[in-house]
Amino acid sequence: MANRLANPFAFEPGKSALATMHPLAKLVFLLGVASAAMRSSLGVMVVLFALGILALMRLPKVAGGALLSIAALAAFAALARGVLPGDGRLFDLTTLPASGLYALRLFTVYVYSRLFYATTRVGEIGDWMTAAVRVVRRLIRKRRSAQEKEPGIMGDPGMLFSLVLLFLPRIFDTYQRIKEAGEVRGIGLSRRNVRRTLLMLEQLIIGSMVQAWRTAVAMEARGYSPQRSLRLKKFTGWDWGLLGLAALLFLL
Amino acid sequence: MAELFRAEGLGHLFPDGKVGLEDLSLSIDEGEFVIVAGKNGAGKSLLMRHFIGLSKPSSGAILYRGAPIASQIPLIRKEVGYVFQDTEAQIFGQTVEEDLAFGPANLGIRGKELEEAVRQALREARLEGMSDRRPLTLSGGEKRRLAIAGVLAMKPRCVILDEPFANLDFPSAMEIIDVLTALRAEGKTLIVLTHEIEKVFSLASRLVILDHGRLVFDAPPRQAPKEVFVQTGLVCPYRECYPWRID
Repeated sequence: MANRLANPFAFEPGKSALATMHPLAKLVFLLGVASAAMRSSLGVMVVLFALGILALMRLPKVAGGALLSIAALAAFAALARGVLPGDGRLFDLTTLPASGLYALRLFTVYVYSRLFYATTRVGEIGDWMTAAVRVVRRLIRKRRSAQEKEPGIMGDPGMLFSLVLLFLPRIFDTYQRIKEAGEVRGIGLSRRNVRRTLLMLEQLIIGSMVQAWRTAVAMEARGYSPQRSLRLKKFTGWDWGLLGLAALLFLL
Repeated sequence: MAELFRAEGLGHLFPDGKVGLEDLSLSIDEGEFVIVAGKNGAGKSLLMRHFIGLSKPSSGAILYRGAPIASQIPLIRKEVGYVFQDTEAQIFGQTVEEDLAFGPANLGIRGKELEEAVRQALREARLEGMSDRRPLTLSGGEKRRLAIAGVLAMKPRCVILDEPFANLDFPSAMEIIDVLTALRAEGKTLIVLTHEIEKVFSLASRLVILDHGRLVFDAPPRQAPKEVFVQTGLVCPYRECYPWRID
């Protein structure tokens, strides 16, 4: 549970209709929304924000702590522009309305990113990237008409992408475990003792590397190799509709 | 029964010169239930890493179905399932069902066949009714069974389980034993690496004991003399010498 609160991008399974849609359509839509949220008028943005929140609320078990942490981050990024304006004051109050609007824009982008992340499988986007690379490799192989060796992990961007996505939440878990183990022995990361903190950071790095290695070996044992079979969704009418909506948002 | 694995004079030296395995020769046939026992650091997991091609021998050779292991890796990935000790590291799905589909989907299984593979794995690992659960919310025993189910969904002919009873309470351990009993009845080859041999002693057809990387015993479990357990630091499972027995 602590992991879910600490990590705003923790995986959340959801049975929303969005989960059945094509990941590329959702990605383009996300880019469209992000573009509109950062440029559009207040009215449009509030509508986008409200729709995003409504969609997010329909997903099961959205971690409230994660939303709060992102809200705090957005507020910090927005308020930074008013800090120390250079005329001796600590904060320029006149920047507040613009900062508030900016924070709302950032938060809107986050809400849609969260929606995308909550309804897209770890490897979906990665599989499309790998499929594209495989097509290019096949074309090159045809042209050169020479035998090439099988691709390794570096020739499989989807695999790298999936591993990183899978690995990130696990770093949060490792961090939490090390932090708790340190706290019960009187060493907190928050304490101002550089040497102790460095010792714990060393543990975090080593622990994460060991965890990553174990995960990679376990994945390989279950057939997840550069030669694996890819599962690619097909575009449906809903996906084309989402792409149309994204185009509209780009034009806004 | 056809021979599955064969180790011939297998040796493994770590980079610091420490001996991991020393002149080890044994073979495992299809349909056997083998306990590979030994105290921590005896070389059990290392031997299995060689069996599935994750480590390279310093000396000797490993054969799978009579051919050198290097040429058999794709076949091994298809036929041999490995349940690692660290359960968390081998769960990749957002739900139980999705995790079970991960392995067979990588092998190219799709549609109805994939659904059936997932359903059967759920049944075999006693996880019916949990398909929509998030793996994070499962208990330790359920996670262990999910890891086993993830491997079973790939329909392996041989399953290797590394310390399947580690950190499990009695009911959870019994559930794992039930799963193993059913798999044995199906005729699957089972290799269980454990130092808790009493839990599977009566189920197994063969007991292999390693000590400091050397093979010190290899025969049906009932033929093991008391002394071999004492000498290798294992719990003697016989009534007259079981250390935790209360009269």
